[in-house]
Amino acid sequence: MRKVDGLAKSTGRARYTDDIALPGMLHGKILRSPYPHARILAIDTSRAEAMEGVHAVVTGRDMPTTYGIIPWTPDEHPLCLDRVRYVGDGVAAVAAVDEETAGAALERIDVAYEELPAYLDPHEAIADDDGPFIHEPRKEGRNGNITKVVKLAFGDVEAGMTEASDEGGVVVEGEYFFEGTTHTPIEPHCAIGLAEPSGKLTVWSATQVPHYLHRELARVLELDPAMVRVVQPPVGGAFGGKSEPFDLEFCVAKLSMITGRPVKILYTREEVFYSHRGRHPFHMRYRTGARADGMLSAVDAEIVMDGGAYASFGLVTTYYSGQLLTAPYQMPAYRFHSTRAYTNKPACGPKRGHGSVQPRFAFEVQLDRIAEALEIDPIELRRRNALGPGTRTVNDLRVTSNGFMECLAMVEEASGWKRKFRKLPYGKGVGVAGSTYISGTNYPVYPNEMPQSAIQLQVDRSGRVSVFSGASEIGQGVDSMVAYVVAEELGVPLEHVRVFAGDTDFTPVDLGAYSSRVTFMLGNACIDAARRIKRLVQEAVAKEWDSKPGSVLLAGGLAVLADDTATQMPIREAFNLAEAAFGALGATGSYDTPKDVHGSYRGATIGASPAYSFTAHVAEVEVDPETGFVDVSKIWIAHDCGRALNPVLVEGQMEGSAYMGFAEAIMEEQVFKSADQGRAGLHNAPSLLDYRIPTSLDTPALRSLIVESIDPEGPYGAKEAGEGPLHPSIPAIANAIYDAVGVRMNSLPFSPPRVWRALQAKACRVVAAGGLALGGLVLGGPALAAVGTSGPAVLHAQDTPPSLHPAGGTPRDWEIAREQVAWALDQGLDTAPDFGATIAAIGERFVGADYEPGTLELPGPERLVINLETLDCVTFVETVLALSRLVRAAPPEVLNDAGRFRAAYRRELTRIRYRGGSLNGYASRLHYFSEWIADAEAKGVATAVSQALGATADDSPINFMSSHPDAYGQLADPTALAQIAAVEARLSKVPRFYIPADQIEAKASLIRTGDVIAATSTVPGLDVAHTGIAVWRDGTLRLLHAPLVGSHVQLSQETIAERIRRIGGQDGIMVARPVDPE
Amino acid sequence: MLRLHPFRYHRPNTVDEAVALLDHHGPDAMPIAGGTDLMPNMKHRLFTPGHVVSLNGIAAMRGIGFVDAPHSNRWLRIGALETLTTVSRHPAVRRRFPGLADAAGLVAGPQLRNMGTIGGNVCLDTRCTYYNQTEFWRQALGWCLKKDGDTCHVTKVGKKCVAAHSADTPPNLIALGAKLVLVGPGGARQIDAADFFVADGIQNTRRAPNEVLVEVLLPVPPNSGSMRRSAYRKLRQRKSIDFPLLSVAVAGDFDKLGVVTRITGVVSALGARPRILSGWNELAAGKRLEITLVEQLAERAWEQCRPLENMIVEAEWRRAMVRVYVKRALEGLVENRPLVSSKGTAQGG
Repeated sequence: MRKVDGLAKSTGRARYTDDIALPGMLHGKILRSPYPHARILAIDTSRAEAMEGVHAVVTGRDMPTTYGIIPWTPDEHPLCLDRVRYVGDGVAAVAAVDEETAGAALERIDVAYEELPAYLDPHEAIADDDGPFIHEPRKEGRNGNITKVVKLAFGDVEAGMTEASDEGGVVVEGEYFFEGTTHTPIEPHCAIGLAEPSGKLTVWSATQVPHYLHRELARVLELDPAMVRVVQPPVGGAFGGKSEPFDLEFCVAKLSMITGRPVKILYTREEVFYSHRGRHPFHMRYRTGARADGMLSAVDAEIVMDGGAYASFGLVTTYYSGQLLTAPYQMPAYRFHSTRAYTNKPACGPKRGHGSVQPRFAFEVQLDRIAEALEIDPIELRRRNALGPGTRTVNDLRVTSNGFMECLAMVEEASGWKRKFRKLPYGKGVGVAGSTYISGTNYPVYPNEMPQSAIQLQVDRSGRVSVFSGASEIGQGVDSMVAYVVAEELGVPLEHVRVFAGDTDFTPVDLGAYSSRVTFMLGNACIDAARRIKRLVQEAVAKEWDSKPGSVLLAGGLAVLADDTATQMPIREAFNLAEAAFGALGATGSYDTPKDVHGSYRGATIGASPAYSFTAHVAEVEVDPETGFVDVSKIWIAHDCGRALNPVLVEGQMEGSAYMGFAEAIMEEQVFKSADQGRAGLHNAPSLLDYRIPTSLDTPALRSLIVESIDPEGPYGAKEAGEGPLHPSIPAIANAIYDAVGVRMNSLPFSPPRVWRALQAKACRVVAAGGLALGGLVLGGPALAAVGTSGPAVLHAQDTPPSLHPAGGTPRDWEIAREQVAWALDQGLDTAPDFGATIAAIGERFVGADYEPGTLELPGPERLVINLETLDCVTFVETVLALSRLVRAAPPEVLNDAGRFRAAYRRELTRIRYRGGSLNGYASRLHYFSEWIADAEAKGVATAVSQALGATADDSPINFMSSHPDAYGQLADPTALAQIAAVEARLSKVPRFYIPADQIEAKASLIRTGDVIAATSTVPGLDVAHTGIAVWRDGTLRLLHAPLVGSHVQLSQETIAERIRRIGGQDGIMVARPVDPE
Repeated sequence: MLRLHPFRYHRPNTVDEAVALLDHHGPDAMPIAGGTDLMPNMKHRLFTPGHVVSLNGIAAMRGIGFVDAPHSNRWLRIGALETLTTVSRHPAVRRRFPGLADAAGLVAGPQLRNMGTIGGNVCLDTRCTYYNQTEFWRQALGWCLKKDGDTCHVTKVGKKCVAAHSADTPPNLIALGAKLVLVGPGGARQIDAADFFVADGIQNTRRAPNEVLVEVLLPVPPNSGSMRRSAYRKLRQRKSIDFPLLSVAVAGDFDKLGVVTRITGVVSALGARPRILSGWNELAAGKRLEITLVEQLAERAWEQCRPLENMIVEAEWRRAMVRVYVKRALEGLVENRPLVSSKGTAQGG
């Protein structure tokens, strides 16, 4: 089926807004602020007004009514009243005979500004309680830099996390950053205003929300809405960037009202970058728990959103950031805490996949990490957790049709997943991700009881059917969709259906082309209207044929009797019979959403939709490790759109979505200059040369796989296809990069410099691990205990029963941790000048604690063990360091909140204990302490100082664990053994540096209180035998440690040098100096 | 949309007429050929000439063909008005100077190559993130040293403009020993491509405002024994459209045994002037281009190149890429054929 507007658009006959030229039309330009944040002290327009060819100049004072697309957060004016809030904020507008004159007139408008401090970082905006805020707080005493905070929790998240870590599962934590991007429609925003002497105002605009624009124009310009007409000509792309009123629409209206002549404003591309309401940058932190079988047990999210200068749709975005994550996977417990901050940058709003693309990226990478940690295939992990049809999500959203399992199966099969995943050569990889999206929001942006969508049909005696549609054709095919519905229901040829759309003077209200609502809602309205006419036609024809109306079929340009298909008449005659019987043929139809599809808690309605689409992608990439270029060779896109009313258009949406996601993944980024680059908040590259979107040469092969789940409430079973298929592109590519080269890309975009840096960092970690010093071992387990303190005897795993201590920690553990921190704060150790003193003081508080070896060596998958009750030499050092870092760096609100404190402690401990700070299985733990030190340096946790102190190289190989696998229960698993052997091979390549026993005394003065000391081992294949913390006491350097001999934490009486000389099996030390995290 | 300022448009039919117009109107006149560089720059108000002198009517500035050179050598003469598309597809260019064919074929995108000329590419204005912006943007910034201001936002200090030479073909012309022919009021003069550029981002060529670049002369090596090879590699984030973030042109003469007799490397898109790499002949002469030598040459290049933050892509990565792209360009000498197909579709670069 062809697209009804396809020929006109492809042959250049479609008339876009800028193609319209009205007699006597003036051209407008908008003066924009060169400052990111400033008070307007005065505006003098007289020099501009005096210019020949200038017809009018308006400023904020001419339109002082506040507006905002969301009625609860009005914070904008068509032109700034007394404050500018970003570089590019509109200040005044001119109407002149041509653009050149209008442009020249802008230079003659004199504005006096008083600059204010600018906020560019959302965290700083949130942290600042003093102001001057970007907006006046809505309530006294609030921070005016915050648009919205949403905290919602469903189920017991902490219990879910504990369940995960106690029962052989995993808790994965990660931080992610999604950079802001723009929509990049090819057509810039354009509007024409025409005020007539009758008082009627017409505005033509490249908008995707004519109805909302209609309302706001009337409100802000103080006109009777019945005297306002909004016309939406064909739109050259929108993608969410034209879904609220913009300054130019008010300006053309006002300037026309003043001059009595039509006025046009066309944005430059640069202005689009200032005005567009691009995708929000998100700073995200996720904690995800999964049981050993891969089933998710809890999800915890904390999100800070960089909203830019105005609220826009931000209230909704803040909810969406959490509400839309709860499918397609079951999650028994879920919590999110999202904060949208104002900053002095262009306002952010909705872009394709509004508010949910960013969390989806983070979450699907989390799932990939869980799959790896639990050694479950990532597609299988998703399959196990699939929510299924006919259910409710954890946040009480009703899910009806659900084809997610089919999506997974299709991409798995089509991509050759099983042949490729973890099997392609270095540099090549595949990744998978899934997602869900709404088919329309259940409620309009302003509360009302009227239908969400409506349509009107009119039938002519010729057989022609006209459709009057309030919906916005923005390229997605809505005009075609309603024509298909009419042709289907009334049996007329497609060419006989005329669609008139997007004119508030003669079409019923549809709320607009946003939130993937139009096919679902308008499609149903259209079926409603068409069937009203169909019934009349069937009745009239049945009477003629002396049959039942239900037996009359309308199809193929004919009315046909079902029982005897030889009985038929042209559809035109059928229409004429109906008109003769019932009068002129016309009908309206409407659709409103069901109201029982969500919970009743505050915010439950946001994110609710009558139906949800589902998507899965597999991306295949090739990474050039020398340059960091990621070549995405192919994306397989499987999408459940309910039913594909026109498969070609659905595929177009799927390909366009996947392309857009790919573009954001690889290339797009909207960044701003800083003050030291000349002007804070100045857009880095407001042009399509420097803001890069992929060309056709850069674009992967895209393979669309349509899944039809036939939704019970969609028109013919259809759901959305325009936004859902964007989401998985980004995480699928991130996961494929990991498969290809082993680096986790947690910040967008995955541009060559970023990927290159990640690869460099990985290489450095490898080199550092081998290259630094000394050696010793750090088995947290029985081997350590034995080797570490009494020589080379090795206890076998089976000799020691596994620890009975629960991995996730006991209430007593948390009590100890909180007490320690409270005590330290009380002592002022959080601000004490010397971090080493803080470490030593906290460490000394553990003196007397019981020694217990092997607390980390638990059966089952590797888990983060929290144990402050019983310690060994390594867990003692790690525990003290984690607590000390929290004392120094965690904000009071974290320390004072039990849940957040636990989360923060787990994060710190994970950071310290695991390679790169990520828990990914047994081999990710830093068993060898020389690597622990090197990794601590790479993570910024500590600095290896041995070499600086003048160390000796040891290049003997490391292989203790792999050559004593029976000492470690986990090494019964050949995969773990292989991984450990690989780690050892890497560590063995580079010499380690240590201070030999006989030089320790001479170097002692260079060692400081709080330094981490590792005693090197003489056992072949082992680097370190014992660990502790250096403490200067009574003029001598002692060791604060948890030794086997002595059975509890203690401060040594002898010096470190004496101790090393005395104990067999230890021949020197390595020294690492903890870095103050403050 | 962005509008052009009013100007008078001239369309002379001979070089002399064009030179006379430029000379007559002085700094208020600028020559234009394809316009792909000048027009956007005029829309950005980087140039506001009152007189624009089109060279497109000058037949004498067209044509590609062999001509005699002194000492019974020959040149390949390329008229300055030949489009980048034509240059990139010309059989003689492709066969003898694959590096140049690639450079021309990798400029911007197909439409721009159909308009842009090799003369215009040689005379391309330098580029900088603080310069190639609209008037509004530059005003919000507070202007810059190259245009309307007195501060360099890249270096923060100093009075030297560090906008980058961003044209693709000149590094190849330099590496291939090309000569440029300029005509001014005093007649024609020849200048080595290697001497044409100066290290000043504000005005980085030795072309006087009243001179016209009329042709490019590429020395054709004699058909005896030695063989001249060339290659070009261009760093950019997209496979089309973008200006180089780094460009590497290499050319070398090899004897029948594949031993290097002379080798030249030129790195550009970093500073105002293409950098002719030093020390290469000392390293390479008398050796075959094997991997150790390639790595030594790449290392020498890396030591000499220090990109600045004059583009929005970070300098540290661009610098690291010097080693990689020089290596890849040298590897291209082995192939010695263009990456860009004769139909003009670029693969990689």
